[in-house]
Amino acid sequence: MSKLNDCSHIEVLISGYIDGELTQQESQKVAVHLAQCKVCQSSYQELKKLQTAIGKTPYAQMEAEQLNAILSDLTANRVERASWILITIGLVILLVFAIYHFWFDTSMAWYSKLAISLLWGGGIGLFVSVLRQRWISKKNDKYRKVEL
Amino acid sequence: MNNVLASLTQGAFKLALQLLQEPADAHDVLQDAAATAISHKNAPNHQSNDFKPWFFRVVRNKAIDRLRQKKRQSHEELDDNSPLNEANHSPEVDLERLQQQQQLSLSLARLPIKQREIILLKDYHGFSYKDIAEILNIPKGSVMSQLHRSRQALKVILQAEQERDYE
Repeated sequence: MSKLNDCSHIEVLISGYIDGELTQQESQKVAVHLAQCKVCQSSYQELKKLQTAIGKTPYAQMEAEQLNAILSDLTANRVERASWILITIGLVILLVFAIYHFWFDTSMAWYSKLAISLLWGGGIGLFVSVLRQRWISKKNDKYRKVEL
Repeated sequence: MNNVLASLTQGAFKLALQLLQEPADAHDVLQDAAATAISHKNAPNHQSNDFKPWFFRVVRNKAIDRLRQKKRQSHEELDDNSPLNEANHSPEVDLERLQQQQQLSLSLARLPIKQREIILLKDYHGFSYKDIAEILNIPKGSVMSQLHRSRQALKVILQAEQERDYE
């Protein structure tokens, strides 16, 4: 293999060598080549210094207040979700009891019960369908985050 | 869970900032990502080693989404195909001047986002190739070559900046 081919083959491995991600065999091959080739050796030195410099690049930290705000938001979210679950469970229990009492109430004629049930059933059905539509459009609306 | 998030948030915020360049946008992305982290069904256990790369992946994806939204608003191109992607062997960079961190930050900011993110995930955040593949959703086998191309592209930008300064 010519020296040029050897260098182009080694070149990509230099990054892996710097990052410690090569197999032992590959690593050895790179080390041997670097000891012999000045061009690749200087490329290796450059990349290594570049890596160190990038590691030291200053970037702004998130302020402690903002960090605390995010974490307390999370706690608030959890409490809100738990509250909704409790409310939903309460409503379901109430509904089951109401239906039970309504159907076993002997003071009312069966046709009144049927009419009232149909009205309630229709009302609940409409409510659920609107809720479902809203939910679907909220999930699929790609412009909802665009600020106007 | 909050403790785990608190310890990861600074690093994740910096990644968002490195991609978005705007602290306010990075903050919004973090807030969004933290909410996802506590409610996502497929989130790894927050005590496991998989959680950090998973969380960074969420942050990265949300940051990219936000960039796309802004692009839609401002009609700017999110250019991933600049001629610098073609960079290969570059002339020697003046390493003494690399100490000028501001110049390095500016050069990093000028890199196409795909090259910037892979360099920063390795050299700034110190992730392994396996974790980088997970965060960027690319095959592990292509991390090394992409990283190398990106580093060469960064060298070209740095060199151009330095030549401009000398003039």
